[in-house]
Amino acid sequence: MAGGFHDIVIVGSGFGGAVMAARLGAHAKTLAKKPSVLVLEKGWDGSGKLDPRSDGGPVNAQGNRFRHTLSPAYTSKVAQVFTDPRGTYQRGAPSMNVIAGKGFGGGSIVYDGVSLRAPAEAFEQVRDGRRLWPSFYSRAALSPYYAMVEQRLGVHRLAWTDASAPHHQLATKRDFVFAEGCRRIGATAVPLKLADAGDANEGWWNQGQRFEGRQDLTKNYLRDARDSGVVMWSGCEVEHVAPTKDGYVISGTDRRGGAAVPFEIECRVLVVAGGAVGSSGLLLRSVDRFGDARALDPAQMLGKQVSANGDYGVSGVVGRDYEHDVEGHKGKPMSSFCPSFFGQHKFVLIPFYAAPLYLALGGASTLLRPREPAASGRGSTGIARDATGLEERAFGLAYKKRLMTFGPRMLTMGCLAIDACEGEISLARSGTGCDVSWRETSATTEARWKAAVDAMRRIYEALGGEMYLDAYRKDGTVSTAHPLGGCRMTERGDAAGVVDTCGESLRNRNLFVVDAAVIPSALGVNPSLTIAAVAESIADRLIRGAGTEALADRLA
Amino acid sequence: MSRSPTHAITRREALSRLLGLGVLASTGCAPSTGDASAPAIALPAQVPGEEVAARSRYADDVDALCDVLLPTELDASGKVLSPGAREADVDGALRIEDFVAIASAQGILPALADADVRRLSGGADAFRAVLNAELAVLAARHRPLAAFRDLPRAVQEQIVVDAFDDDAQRPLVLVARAACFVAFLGAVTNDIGLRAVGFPAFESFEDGLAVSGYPRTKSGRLVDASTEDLARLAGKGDLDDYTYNRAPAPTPGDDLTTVLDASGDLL
Ligand SMILES: Cc1cc2nc3c(=O)[nH]c(=O)nc-3n(C[C@H](O)[C@H](O)[C@H](O)COP(=O)(O)OP(=O)(O)OC[C@H]3O[C@@H](n4cnc5c(N)ncnc54)[C@H](O)[C@@H]3O)c2cc1C
Repeated sequence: MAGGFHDIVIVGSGFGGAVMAARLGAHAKTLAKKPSVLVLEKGWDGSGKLDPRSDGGPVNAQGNRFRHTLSPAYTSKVAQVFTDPRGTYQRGAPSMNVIAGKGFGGGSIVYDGVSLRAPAEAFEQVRDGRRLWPSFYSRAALSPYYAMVEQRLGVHRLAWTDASAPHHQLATKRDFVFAEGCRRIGATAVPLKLADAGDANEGWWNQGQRFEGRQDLTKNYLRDARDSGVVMWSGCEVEHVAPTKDGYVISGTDRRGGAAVPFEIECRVLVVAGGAVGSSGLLLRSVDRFGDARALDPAQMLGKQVSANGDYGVSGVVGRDYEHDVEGHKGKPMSSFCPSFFGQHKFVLIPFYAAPLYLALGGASTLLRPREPAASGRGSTGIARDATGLEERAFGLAYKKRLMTFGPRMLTMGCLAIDACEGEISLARSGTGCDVSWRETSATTEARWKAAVDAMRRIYEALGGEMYLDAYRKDGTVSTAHPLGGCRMTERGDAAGVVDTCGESLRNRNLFVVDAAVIPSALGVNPSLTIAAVAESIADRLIRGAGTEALADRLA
Repeated sequence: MSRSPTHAITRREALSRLLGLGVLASTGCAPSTGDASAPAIALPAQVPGEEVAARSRYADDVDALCDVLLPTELDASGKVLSPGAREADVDGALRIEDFVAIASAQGILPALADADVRRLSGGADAFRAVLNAELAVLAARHRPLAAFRDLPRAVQEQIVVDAFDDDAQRPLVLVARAACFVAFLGAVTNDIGLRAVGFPAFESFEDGLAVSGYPRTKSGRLVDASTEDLARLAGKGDLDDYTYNRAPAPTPGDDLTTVLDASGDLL
């Protein structure tokens, strides 16, 4: 068994872990004792630059190990899906699917780069008379940290048209068509703010962006961390954490080199940053190792009240007579959004590129027509029947022909809404994985999704086309790429959470959670910028010892 | 950047495959079983019933099932109008190690019961054997002594519909369907399916490089937008771009100042 000691260990390298690694790494260098910082990431090093021992494939002509293939043998290296095993398989049963990135950079290696600040009212949500976010947090309080992240990721706003803007900073045909659809129903689309690496994108890979065009975290925060001397191990999955007298012991499996080698590492300060599902799962698995006095989950809140960030995706086509092609696969995967409904209905709409493979298999949205096009709500309608009374089929020539509209006429869009955190994360029956579930949709969320689905259907119809049947209306499946919560932040002493406003465990000094898991509510916009801004703010307070014990003292 | 001809199967090979299949389809001959994509198991000879084709153009029932799920479109002369799962090398997808387990883990297949995962795992040959056996039983229910691959298309389709509705059979057809679409749209061993749905050809399949950017000319040359005159190219009808480079018309009466700040964030 491999072992050792590091002063600070960070588990996971997504938006939470990468920011913490960069900031704590740079700070550690300035301390007299030069404390060591180690990042443990269960995925691989696709960048080919962070872990010399990573056993990924050879670095390719683009200088990394990424490939444009959706072969599951490959995608399992860069992404993971969590599901409700009691769900989709038994048709009609409620279920949930969560997709997350895996590898150095976490979600950033598969994401679309959308970088929006969360609206002020996301932080002000109240439930049962209590503000969901600790009082420390507000849009204004996070503003300086948002600015830091925007600066580090090179976030800029795209333009519809501008002779002086580089070509790659323009929105796409898909957005133009979407904007026209919005206009026809009385709404407005505007260009998005994006982090991108200055590439003109290349709409193909599963999120439509070439890897060297994506501003993933291996190019900024993780590179900074490496340059500060932070050690990074890929292929190392942490399975349990347990308290020691003056720190923590982390145990797991190192899969570099093919063999599964168990490891056990001790540390003084532990930062768990495995993402909403990853961090909640790791702590759920470790609960028994913490006695009552140091209970990890005194309020029984671990894995509870998980938000899907109101994600709801649909697909459809514009009419044959509509004057423009959509060509949704070209350009950046997301480049405009419609905020017109946010004031009244608390959702935004975003057109996006979705790989036809996933549409064909119908996990989130299908290529089938709904029996009742205007239906909305969980399991509200089935598959349309043809003239002979038979249900449309998700196979065969007609289905393939529908798929072949992908290039010219297919338009995919979705909403991000403020949901009521109806999801839950639990341990899988076997192995080290997690299951997710979405038992019931609250009336509030349902009303928002209904308004969103209605708006999206009207957009398709306004363009002479139609919206297909999605998995929520068909099977009740909620699909999200933006899970939030599971280890919610709370004011210290409040029983409604797992960690305090600094992400520190309520009863375990020096055990932090810093990632999507601590976000206590839906945001209504894509969350990575907020997750990173919260991490910047936590790192800043820890380094300065503002409102919490300073890192230097914790390590003394 | 110019295109490199390094596809895992070259375009010429793909074309000859397509043409070959077209010819085979028109002559009713089975494809050679000597190549790598041939099924690994030998099937007992079938006695064709009255209404079935004289000779099968399928290597086995699984091969036929894949053509039902994601068909090759042929014209009356047998020419391929659009490729299907078999041209896209569904056998290659089925040969992916632990296909069922990793396809489930990647959300390509719904979560299957543990017993089904066990039944369908164990390698491509094992899966194929199970599926061929099941298809033989299903076919026999419709036409005694007829093989699935020899049944008329309408009957084959009905068998598939029934299988999707049957708890015991559904996992089998789900796996087969997933393999077909993964092969067709997942760029596993070629980009035939992607091109069929309107995507540009890979620049380098071996290097895993799809398209390296826009704007390009219709013939695929990457255009440097900072030095070349896009308007002129567009005027000549030779521009393949992703933007109209013009703003959409404003929406009368929709005032965003109450929801959006000057930098483009929600207030
Ligand atoms: C396809 C897709 C597109 C997206 N597009 C956008 C977008 O455009 N804009 C946006 O704002 N958001 C987007 N998101 C969401 C965004 O990626 C996530 O919200 C964000 O990455 C979450 O950051 P995180 O730090 O919480 O966790 P993650 O980024 O998920 O990182 C967690 C990391 O921890 C590792 N890990 C987990 N458990 C362990 C363990 N036990 N041991 C070791 N390592 C572990 C994981 O492998 C992973 O690399 C997208 C997500 C997906 C999947």
